[in-house]
This record gives sequence, C-alpha cells and structure tokens, in this order.
Amino acid sequence: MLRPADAVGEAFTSIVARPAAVTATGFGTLLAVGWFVAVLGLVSTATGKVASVFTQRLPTSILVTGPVPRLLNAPFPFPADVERRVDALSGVVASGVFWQVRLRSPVVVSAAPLTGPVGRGQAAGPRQATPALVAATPGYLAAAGVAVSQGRLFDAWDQSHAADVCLVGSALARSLRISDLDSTHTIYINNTGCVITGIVSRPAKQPSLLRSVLLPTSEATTMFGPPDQRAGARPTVLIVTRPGAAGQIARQAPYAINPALPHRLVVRFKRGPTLLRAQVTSALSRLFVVIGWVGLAIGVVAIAGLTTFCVLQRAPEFALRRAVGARRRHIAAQVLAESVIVGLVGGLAGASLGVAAVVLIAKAVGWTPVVAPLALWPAPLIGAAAGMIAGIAPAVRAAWMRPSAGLSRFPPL
Amino acid sequence: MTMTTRRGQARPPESNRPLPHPPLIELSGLRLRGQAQERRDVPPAPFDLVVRRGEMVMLTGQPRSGRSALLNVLGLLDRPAAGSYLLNGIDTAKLRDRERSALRGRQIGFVFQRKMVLPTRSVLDNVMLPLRYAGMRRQQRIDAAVESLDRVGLAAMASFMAWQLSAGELALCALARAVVTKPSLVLCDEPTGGLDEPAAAKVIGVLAGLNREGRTVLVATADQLAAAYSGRSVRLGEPAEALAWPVTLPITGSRAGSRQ
Repeated sequence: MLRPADAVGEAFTSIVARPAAVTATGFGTLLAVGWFVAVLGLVSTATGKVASVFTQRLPTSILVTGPVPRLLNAPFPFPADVERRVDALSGVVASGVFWQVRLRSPVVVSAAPLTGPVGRGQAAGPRQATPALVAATPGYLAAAGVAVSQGRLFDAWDQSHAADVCLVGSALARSLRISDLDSTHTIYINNTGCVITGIVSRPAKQPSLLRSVLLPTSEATTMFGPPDQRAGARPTVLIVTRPGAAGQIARQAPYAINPALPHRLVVRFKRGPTLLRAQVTSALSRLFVVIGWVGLAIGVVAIAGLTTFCVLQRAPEFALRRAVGARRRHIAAQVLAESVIVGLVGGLAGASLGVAAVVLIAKAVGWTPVVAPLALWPAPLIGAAAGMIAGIAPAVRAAWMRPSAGLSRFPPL
Repeated sequence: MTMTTRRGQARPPESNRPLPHPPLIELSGLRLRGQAQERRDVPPAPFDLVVRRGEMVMLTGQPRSGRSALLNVLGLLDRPAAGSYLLNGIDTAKLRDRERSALRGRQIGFVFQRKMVLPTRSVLDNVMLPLRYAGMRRQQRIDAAVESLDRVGLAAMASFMAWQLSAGELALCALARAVVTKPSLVLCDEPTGGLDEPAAAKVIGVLAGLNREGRTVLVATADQLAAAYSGRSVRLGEPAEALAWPVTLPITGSRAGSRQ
C-alpha cells in the first residue's frame, strides 16, 4: 500500500523531473486563474467607478421641519443647540436653521428712511421694495453656500448679540440702487435701520435668496417676534452632507435633534438614483462574473487536454509503475496530485498576474483599482480545484492504460 | 513447500532428474492476445506450459514469436485471450486489479527488454520504486535497495542519475529493481540484449545466482551463456511454424542449446 507522504513526494519529484510539460500546464492554469482574478478585479474596479460617479450625483441636502403647528403660538420646534447636535453626526458638512419671516402686512425695505407711516401702498416708491425676509443662522449661510460679492457674511458674534445687521441679495440691491457698500451701508426694514454686512452674490442652493434680505435669527426674533408658524414661517434645518451620506443622515438627524420625539420631525430629501446604481452595478457584476467563469472553464478544458496529452506521453512510465506493483488508483492519484500541485502554484502565480493586470489597467484608465480579498485569497484554491477537475479525465485515462501497451512504447536504448 | 527449502542448494545446470517441486506456473490452453503488430505472428493454437519452483527456463524463438507477450501474461501485465494461468496454484483470471498489483509488486520481478528506468531519477530511487508501492518505510527501502544494488555490483553508483548509466549498468540497475522485493519469480525479456560480452556475463551470472537461491527464473533470450545455466529451454513457435504449434511445447529437461 502506497503511503500518502510517498504519493505526494512521488508527485513532487515527477513535477520537478518534467519542467517543460509542467511549465506548459502551469502556464495554462496561470492564465486561467489570472483571467478569473483580473475579471473579478475589473468588475469591482468598474463597479467602484460607477458607484463613485453615481455618488457624485447624489443629493446632499436634507430639510428638517417641525410638526405642522395646530396652536397659535406653537413652541420653537428645535432645541437651541440644534446645529451643534446635527454637526456632530459623521457625514454632515454644515447645517443651519432658517425661516421665512411672514407678517400680516408686507415688510417694506428701503434704502433711505421713509417719512410717512409705514403701510400698504408705500412700497412702490423709489428705492423701496417688499422683498422676502429670511431669518438664518451663520450655519445656514455655510450650508446654503451663500457667498458675498462685497462685505462679509454675518457671523456668530452678530448672531449672539442680535446685532442689527443683514445681507442683501444682489438682485434686490440693484432694485434698491445699492451699488457699493461705501455709499450705502444701511437699509431700513419697516423704517428700522439695519447695517448691510454684505451683498449676496452666489447662493448655491437657493437662487431666491438673491431677491431677499437675510437676517440673523436672533435679530429677526427681536424685530418680529418668534416665527409665526401658522402663517407658514416654519423654522427649518438645512443639512448638507457629504456625497452618499444623505440617506443615513436623514435617518439619524431626527434622533439627534429631538431624541425624545424624533418621529414628530418631518425630514425631506431626494433619494437620488440609488436603485439605478444598484441595477447598473449588479448587471455589470453579473456580466463580468459570467465572463470570468467562462474563461476559467475554457482554461480548465485546455489544461485537461494538455494534461491528457502529457499523460499519453508518459504511458511507458505508468506501465513501468504498474509493472512494479502500482495499482490503478496509485496511478490516478499521482496524476491527480501532480495536477493539483501544478494548479495550486499556477493559481498563486495567476492571482498575482490578475492583480497586476487590474492595477495596470485601472492606472491606464485612471480609475481606482479595487480587488476584493474574497476574489484574491481563494485564487490558489481555485487553481487547485481547476487542476483537480482538469486532472480527472487524464487520471482515469492513465489508470486504465494497459501496462503491456505502455511498455512497448518505451524508447529503445 | 516454499522455495525457501531450496535456498542455498546449487543445482548443476546439467541436472536432468525430474523436479520434485510443485509447479509455480501452470498454463493450460493459453492463447495470447498479442499486440497490434504482433497479432498475426502470435501462435493461433492454445498451448500448455508448466514451470516448477526453482527452475531456470529459457524461452527461445524468433523475434515477434510472442515471447514478450507471454512474459507480459506471466507477469500479470496482460490477460490471456483464452486459457488459464495458475500462479502458485491461484487462478489469475479471478484476481482483481488490486490483487494482481500486489502479486506483481511482491512475487514477480520483471526485467524489461528495453531496460526501462526513470531517467531523471537516481539509481537508488529507481531500485526503490517497487518498495514504495509495497508501502515500506523510507529507511527500510534504502536498506533493501542498497542490498539489491550490492548484489548486482552497482552499489557504488547508487547516487548516479539513471541517464548517466551505460547500457550494461542500466541492465544491472533494472535487474536490481526486479529483485529488490525478493520475488519468487523473475521474468527477463532479453536481459543481455545490446550488451557487450562482459556485461552480459555479469547479468547472466546474477540471474544464475538468483536461481541458485531457489528463485524461479524465466529468461527470454537467445544468449548461449544463459542457455548454459538454464535447466531447460522452451522454444516458441516461429511465424512460419505457427500451424505446428504447440508441438514444441513443453520441452522439459532438455539441455538448452541442444535445441538451437
């Protein structure tokens, strides 16, 4: 009875003794496994690329409002430190509170003090307007991407001191004939003077701000009282997230803002093409995985053919082994063991080749190479399995050769 | 009733007395399958042959007369087309591959016509090969192989690669491999073919020594030296004489060479 260690040793010695044939078979395994790993690596690389393209197009804004008010004087729906709470969430870029100031009569804004009583019908005068008034925190300015062409944004100091400052939209500034802050640095809101800190030129998120006056929320509360939620001046938290984080932040934000009653807050955000992304990447993966397996299968068939050829060449050797006492299963085991060992080594080399191919191709295209460890670690085992599958037919063939036929083919001296 | 009873008893080649030992090989009604190119040359008629333990028998005959095919059958490498082959009283037709392999490994030593060795292995490895399949431990294998090489006078070349050997050394290496398992039956197909006279004499000397130990030796050869040591000679039919088969078999107790 052949000892297992001897069987493996015999297989090893046979492999070393036939470098050319083994190199050919091993090269086949290398190509097959290399192809498999490369295709899987390219799938994950391409999927990563597609995902990142989609992610860049995912919405990053979330709006959180309080419950629909039923009382006349509904309490302010957010805690005072709402921005600090939201900013603490991982994935939040900026956040801030704002509301539209709504009063029973329109607010008249003028570039010069009005002489008569403020009231309906006076807004049509020169350098007067009835624009929208927006109360906002400095955090909101950052979240909304507000930028000024002149002056500066109002900041935390203005907010904490309820300073009489404001930002004027560039369109409104034009209609009020404010060309620069040196000549006109004050506007009058319902005849109350208010220093213009800057002229808003680029509100990335909300173009309507160009026609509005922005006030710190503390000043707006001082000037007009708390937001009249019944009139539609509902305080809102604007949260801007990093790409792809919106969905998660939308789930977390209510708990951060009001842990006791998170479900009373209303969260709005666009979900974006996540389903499309999933469909595209899964279709891509399926296609490439099929290509990978087909390549591997072709490789296995090729290796099987090559191994069969080698086995036929070695008929005399197997006949000799049979003549000195080897059983059929010993011959089959030897062929299989050799095939598995070559497959294992070829698989190792193939994995390296595959990774190298993925990295080079990704570098050439300018993508980030992504190789999943799950595609890489089993590669030698896949090589060994390929070797085993490819070795079955040749092993059976070798085992059932007639020894006497093999002996007659031994090369003469 | 085993061959060990004869161990150490030298039997002069001219001995003509009836052999008292039980038969080791009994062929009856045997028809060889033959190989493709030999098929038409194989004797069509069945034949019988009995070889007793401790005999040294010379198989003669023209090339392609079926000697190799007969040795393949005797060595359990091939099955006969018809007839029965009893080895040591066991009907080999009923044996399964596993049992035939075991018999090949332990009972039969085979020296092939072409001195087959694994060229990329050392002489020692080649001689140890049958012991691997016998499941022996490595140290035991080495000891047995060295002993066997010592017997054929090749111990000094144990570490040489097989491809480095001359034809005579190859023949001795093949012989050492054949006897490393201490088989009771040694089959040799042209063991001196292609060898010069000293090398052939050495090979025949080793075979004669094995026979003196009580091993049964069948040699297919036309070598006169082998004939001198053989107890008898069996002449296989020539292609032209195929129809006359099996009248020439068996020819027991005749002096080898007298038939040539």
